[in-house]
Amino acid sequence: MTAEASLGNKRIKVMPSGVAPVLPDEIMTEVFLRLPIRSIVRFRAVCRSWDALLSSEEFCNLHMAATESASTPPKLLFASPAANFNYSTALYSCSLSGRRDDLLFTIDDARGNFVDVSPAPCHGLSLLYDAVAPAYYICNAATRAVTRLPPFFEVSNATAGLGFDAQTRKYKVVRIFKGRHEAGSLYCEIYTLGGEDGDNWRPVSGGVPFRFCSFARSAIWYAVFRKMQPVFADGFLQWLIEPSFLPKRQGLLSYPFLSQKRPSAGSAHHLLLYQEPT
Amino acid sequence: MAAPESGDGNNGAARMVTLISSDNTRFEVEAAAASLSQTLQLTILDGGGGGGDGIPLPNVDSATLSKVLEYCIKHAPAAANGGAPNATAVDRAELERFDNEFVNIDQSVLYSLIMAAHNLEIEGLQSLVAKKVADMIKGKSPMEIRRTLGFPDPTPEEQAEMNAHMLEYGWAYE
Repeated sequence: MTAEASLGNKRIKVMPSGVAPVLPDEIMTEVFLRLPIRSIVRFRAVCRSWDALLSSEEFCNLHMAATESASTPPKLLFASPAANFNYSTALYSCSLSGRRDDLLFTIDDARGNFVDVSPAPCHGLSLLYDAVAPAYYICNAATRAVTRLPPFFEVSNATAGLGFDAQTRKYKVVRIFKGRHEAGSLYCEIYTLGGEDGDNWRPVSGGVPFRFCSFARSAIWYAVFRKMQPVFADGFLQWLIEPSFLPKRQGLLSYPFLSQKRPSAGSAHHLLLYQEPT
Repeated sequence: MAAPESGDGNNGAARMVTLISSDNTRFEVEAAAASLSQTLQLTILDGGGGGGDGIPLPNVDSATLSKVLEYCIKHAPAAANGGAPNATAVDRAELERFDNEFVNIDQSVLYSLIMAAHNLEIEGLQSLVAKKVADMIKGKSPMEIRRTLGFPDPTPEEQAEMNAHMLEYGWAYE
């Protein structure tokens, strides 16, 4: 089991035939980085040290970067009612050239026709919204793991997006919604995946600043009636805003995930910062 | 422009260096080829390895070293062109054919090769061999991997964990 065993060639020769010497972790990592995700998941069962290495955040980041730079063809992720009529939703992935769809997993009690998938995965994870329950799910299409998020304040006019905070290395779901009774009130709450605050939604202290309320309302409107979900890009979770709110301009409401980062304001895009008060 | 004695390629006789394997075999090779190794490059730039001196490589035996040098000699011209941006498609196809053929070898040779590539820091070879090992193991079951690596049979507890993993991630075992 020691690394030294493989360093001297003489030691290799006395190994029983068919038995490979154990390579140092550093080299094994190079090998693992070239494996498809299916093998990575399977090899977590080989032994505890492989499990620790292959499950580590460091390795996952390296593998993700390697897969991206290998420019593997993109795949389409889509939700559809499962064939069993049991009110469950199936998630499929298909390659753009292939003829076959791979069933990734099914979610029971989520009704296929009412499930939205976030437009693009954020650092490997996707946000799913079941409008009937209602419930949010976070899923990893690569490892086929699904987590149902805790219940939240139910309203019909709400929008949520998934972002990744590169500083704390945490995933967060940011949800903006209209209060049920007071017509004017808007709320914003955050769920942090594996966060220190525990498994719950945390209201943003101070609520939505007054000057952003009309934009937030527009973002909700777009998301609910036009099915335009926010996108996480360039460190910001960005919602499109109804153009009539910003005459002659396209508008975005964005939620920054890195406090020191500032968006570039182009002529065509007017970026609005909604900063989380800390 | 370069002085003849420091030129390592196109002007006249190429500069040669000597490498000495762990079992004391001497290999004379062009400095440009040996310089594919990051580890050797500095020594060679300092003027080492020439004449009767030779660079000792106590971690690499002669069989492995001759294999490593076969790779370096083949890849040296392309590497001298800065990763061969202006290489023809034919040249690249030829290198690819060579690479595929090159790693089509016995498992034990492959393992000493990966260690040597790592010790000598030959980037292209490291990634070539790593890719080959990945291709060899990617379809194996956890149990097959354990046997290949000579791990002891799993304890009942470990076996239960392996079974549970297989139940949970059945799709990865298909």
